[in-house]
Amino acid sequence: MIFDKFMQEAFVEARRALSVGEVPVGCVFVYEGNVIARGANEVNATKNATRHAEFICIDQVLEFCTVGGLKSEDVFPKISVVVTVEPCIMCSAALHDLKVKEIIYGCANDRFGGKTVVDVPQVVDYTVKVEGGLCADEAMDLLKEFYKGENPSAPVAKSKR
Amino acid sequence: MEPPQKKPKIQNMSTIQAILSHEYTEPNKLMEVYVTAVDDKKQISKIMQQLATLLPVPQLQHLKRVKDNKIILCSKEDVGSLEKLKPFLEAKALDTAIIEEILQKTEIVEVPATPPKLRWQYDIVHRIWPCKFHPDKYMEQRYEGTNFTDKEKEFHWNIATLMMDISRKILDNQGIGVCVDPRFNSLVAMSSSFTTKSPVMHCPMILVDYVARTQDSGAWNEKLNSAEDFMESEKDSEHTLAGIPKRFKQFMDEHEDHKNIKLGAERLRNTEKLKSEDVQMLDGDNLAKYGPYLCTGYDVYLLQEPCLMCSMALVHSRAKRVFFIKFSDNGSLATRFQLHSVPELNHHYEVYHIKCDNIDMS
Repeated sequence: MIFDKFMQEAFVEARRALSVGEVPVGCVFVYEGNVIARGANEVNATKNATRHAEFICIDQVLEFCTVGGLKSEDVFPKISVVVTVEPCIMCSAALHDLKVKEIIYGCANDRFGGKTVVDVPQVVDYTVKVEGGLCADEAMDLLKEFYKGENPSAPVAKSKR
Repeated sequence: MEPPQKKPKIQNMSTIQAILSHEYTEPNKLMEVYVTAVDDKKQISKIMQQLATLLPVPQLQHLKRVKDNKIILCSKEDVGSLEKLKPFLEAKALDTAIIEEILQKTEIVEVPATPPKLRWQYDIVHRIWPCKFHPDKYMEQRYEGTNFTDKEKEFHWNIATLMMDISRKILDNQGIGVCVDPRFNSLVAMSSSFTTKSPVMHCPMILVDYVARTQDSGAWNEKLNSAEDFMESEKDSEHTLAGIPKRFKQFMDEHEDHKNIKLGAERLRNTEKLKSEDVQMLDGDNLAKYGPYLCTGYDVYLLQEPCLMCSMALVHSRAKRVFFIKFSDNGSLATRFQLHSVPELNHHYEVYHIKCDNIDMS
């Protein structure tokens, strides 16, 4: 499958995240056959819970457009998003709004996946082709490895009423 | 003589309405069940004994099994048509004599399919079938709109007025967001949108990044420092103004209505975190105990109902409550969706719509 090698690049990002104590999710954006953005979660480093791998890449694409004199609304529709874990509701909504070409992900996200938990296309009234299951086990193993240790910045769970 | 003209009352015209899920705002759905009618009291207890062990109905635990002389047997969906009821009961290994007794007088009735959450629902469903009910005083108050004190309402209204004023006078009617620490009624951060810089720089996305600035961090500092000047706080001050753009502070200083609103966020604490085992034992407000972490314990006020991306950003950020004034076509807390009512999410904030009837909403 043509996305295998891009997924491996996303895994490089995910492992880098794991090594610095971030949730190991990695992502690359592919434009005209080339990776133009790569990133991993930076939530703990920035104290901003929206700094998921996809958002790191979105910022890089905007930079890419500025440097290359391109319009982002022309570039995003040609971008394939390759990400190790199913984009969350926030990221999926953003990628739908940006009208990316397609999203290819590894393992599903049962807690807040933008496909598994909420029907994002129905809410945002636009559909992007989304395909999961590429290297799903590898992606899941990385997450498991992370959650064996504890997220150092995780909030303290409130006891249920 | 003409009656004295009534002085127009200058009063707070706003109401603050909780946006609650359908579980609270809709009547309970009904479902069909098979019941049997048994007139002999002794028989009823005999049948009940068998049903309790051999034919429990876990999905109807909110209902009493017996109403007068009628006993719920099972949901119609589990059985199908009436002729299938006998083989169904036999398969559950009920006594033959009991089955005979049951089948003498069976009928299909509708009963509430879900437990009532609020008193008004209970009043309806318990007339249909006897029902268990655990009143939740806080949810009743939120439904009735009586959960805020007058003083709290006044504060929410002040923030709403501030947002509408700033939007109209210096933001060309664009959206604005304010993050508040409700422990001190103090403004932690304020933001407008910057969609000319980036299509994802909606005002709530920027707001959570400005909150991160108050925690000595943030992701868009470089990108936005050229667009926005920030307040500097005295080094030894307990609170930081790092999330407050100068232009908003200036506006507030210049306007009598707004200049008494408190500004500043608690700084990060240097205390080490408790071990997770200790922490499990504790209850109450994490913000008070551990200091700032993302938007934990903070309230977020928005002029415009947030889109799905921003609504989820506020879930990730662990906001406590979200208030908004204007509905949005792509709004995801009321208009197109109620993200805060999705049970799978690991955090749920409360959502309120501040209705301003006396304001031109165009």
